[in-house]
Amino acid sequence: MIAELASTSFPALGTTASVCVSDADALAAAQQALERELAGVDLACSRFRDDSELVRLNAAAGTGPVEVGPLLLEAVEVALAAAASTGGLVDPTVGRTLRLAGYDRRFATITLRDGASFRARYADVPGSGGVHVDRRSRTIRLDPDVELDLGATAKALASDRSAAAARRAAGCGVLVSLGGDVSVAGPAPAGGWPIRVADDHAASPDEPGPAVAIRAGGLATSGTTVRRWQAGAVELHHIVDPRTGRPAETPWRTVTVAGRSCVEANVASTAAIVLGEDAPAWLEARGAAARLVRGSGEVVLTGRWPEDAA
Amino acid sequence: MQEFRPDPRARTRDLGLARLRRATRYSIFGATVLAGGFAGLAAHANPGHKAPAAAAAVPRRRPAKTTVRPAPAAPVQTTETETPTPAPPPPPAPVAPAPAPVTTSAPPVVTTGAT
Repeated sequence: MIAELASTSFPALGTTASVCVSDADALAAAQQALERELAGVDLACSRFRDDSELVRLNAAAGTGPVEVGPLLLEAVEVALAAAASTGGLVDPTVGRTLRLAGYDRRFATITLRDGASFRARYADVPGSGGVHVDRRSRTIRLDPDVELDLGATAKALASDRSAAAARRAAGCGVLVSLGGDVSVAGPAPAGGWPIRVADDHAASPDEPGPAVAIRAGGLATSGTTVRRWQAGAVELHHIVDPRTGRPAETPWRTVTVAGRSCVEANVASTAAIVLGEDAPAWLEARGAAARLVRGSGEVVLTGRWPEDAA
Repeated sequence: MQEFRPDPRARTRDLGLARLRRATRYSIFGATVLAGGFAGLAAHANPGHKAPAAAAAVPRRRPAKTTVRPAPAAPVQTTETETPTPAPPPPPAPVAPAPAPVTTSAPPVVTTGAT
């Protein structure tokens, strides 16, 4: 029953974390599990914490292998799998060019910089072949000039992990959303989990607009309209095309994809942004249910994504 | 010196085992050929997996459609699959489609959108 759903939201990972449960009595347990997961992911995968494992790993590029914890190991393996499954369209080695382009600090503080005088620079993306993972010794070695950014997959992975953990802790159906990267676990409420689809994840669920329901897996939206910053006379966004090392030139404002997991959905939505006009055919070929919105507002649907309600 | 005389029961057993080995080999070969045939037909059964490149250049709004698509046709039910042609190279393992969302009128609990 929808009426029994309970939810709460709080800031985390530079965005908004939300957890919704199908049993209101289990909300506190689910939230605790979510907070634990997010704390672990932030410490392992943040590019902006001096004490994070990822910062330590990036600093050791070109030297010997670095022993890492299981969470960063998993996050890097997920990122490498994303690169493999998309032919390099979603690549974790965009870290250096992203940093040079100006995404070099927590996003909330980028807006405090004088964008008019800032000059973006770019670097070639070395590719995931420069990342060497040894699962047995739990070490990762980066080639020189390789700098990882796990932004394309780590948040979605955190959603999947958090939903599973919260489900175990709460013992009921759970939905977790991290900045619009949605993952569900356990029994869904009747009719599924209702989710609003919008340009900006921060838009209120109560505002008018298309809504869909999912019963399993995940839902993710990638877009170029929100995380933007000024670099001199131009405005940049955070989704890098690994083929050029620059922010992707794309006709899509947002791409929303349903997947068997949030990671799968987010990898597909990010790849679609990078692919540009080829995205609908690419998504169709993978049987992906997706909703793409052009800059003009035109909507293109692929797979079994339902028509927007009139 | 005592002449070696094979036990008739052992000979019967050996012959049976040989027949069993042959039958196993034929079964494996046949199953491989049929599996390849099925896989090839499955790869062609769904036009969505063969979207021409030209379609990519002309994205369009899809016409209205039902929210639940019928399950893909099972190629094993066609008679064509019995053609004993040489097995083509197996295509990549088919991946189960992701669960599709459905429209809802229930009040949304969260928003998905760009971060």
